[in-house]
Amino acid sequence: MRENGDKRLDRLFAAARGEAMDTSRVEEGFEARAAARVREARRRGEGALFGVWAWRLVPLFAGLVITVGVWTAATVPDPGPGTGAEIAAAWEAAELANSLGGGG
Amino acid sequence: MAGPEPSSPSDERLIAAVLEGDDGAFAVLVGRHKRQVLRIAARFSRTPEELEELGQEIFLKAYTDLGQYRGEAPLAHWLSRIAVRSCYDVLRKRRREIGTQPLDDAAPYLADDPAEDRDPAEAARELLDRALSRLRPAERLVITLLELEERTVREVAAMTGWSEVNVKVRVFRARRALKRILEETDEGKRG
Repeated sequence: MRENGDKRLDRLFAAARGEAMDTSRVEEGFEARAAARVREARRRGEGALFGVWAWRLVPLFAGLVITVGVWTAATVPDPGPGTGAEIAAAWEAAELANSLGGGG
Repeated sequence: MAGPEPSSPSDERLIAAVLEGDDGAFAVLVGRHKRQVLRIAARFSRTPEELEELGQEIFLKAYTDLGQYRGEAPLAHWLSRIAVRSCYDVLRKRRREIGTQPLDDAAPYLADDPAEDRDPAEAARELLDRALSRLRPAERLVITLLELEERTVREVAAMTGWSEVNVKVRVFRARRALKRILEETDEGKRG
């Protein structure tokens, strides 16, 4: 008679349960190899780690720039016309005086 | 799992030392927890070489994430979760790489006339490995942890981060798929 599928599966699991791979060979000296792997990964990853952190810090720096910009716009008083405007005005005044005085 | 000797430093002290750059402390932690981690990894490894690689990947991940360990659960539980998630990643990667295999050689164990010259447990494991390799990674993961590692649904849920309902559904589907695979094997042998 054919076994019920579930019973058959349970029988298979029961038989295989005690048949896990023997880990003793891998366990031998495993901690030394794992520590060496970590050191190697750390050595190779130092540059990569900096890159990761640099990218992670981009939003922080962007936020900082925006904050400083907003703060500057809100707190620093309007300096009025800039130096360029003053030079242009002086030049125009000189031109006017020149033309009225009949110079040039 | 054996705990630390009374005279040896606790996991918490070793973790603090590792975070300060003490590689020796990390090696002690690995030595203390390797058996438990390798036992889980062995269920998903086909050769000792794969087991070595997977075990190292798990502890490398643990090292990288050690700063995130909050001590809310024992370190062994935290490591088990990392191990299970790493095994799941391996299963997904393997699935993409090799696809499915045919079942044939180990089938005699389940046939009406089992082969006399094979160790039944070994044959069962071979057959099961082949059948499990045809499951979806998530199904394989939960059925292995429940049936072979004899974990509870709650434990599997905690290890995988899936809900208990989700785990139960996946186990149900895994069993249904395995039964179908075994039936197909029988039909293939008869045909």
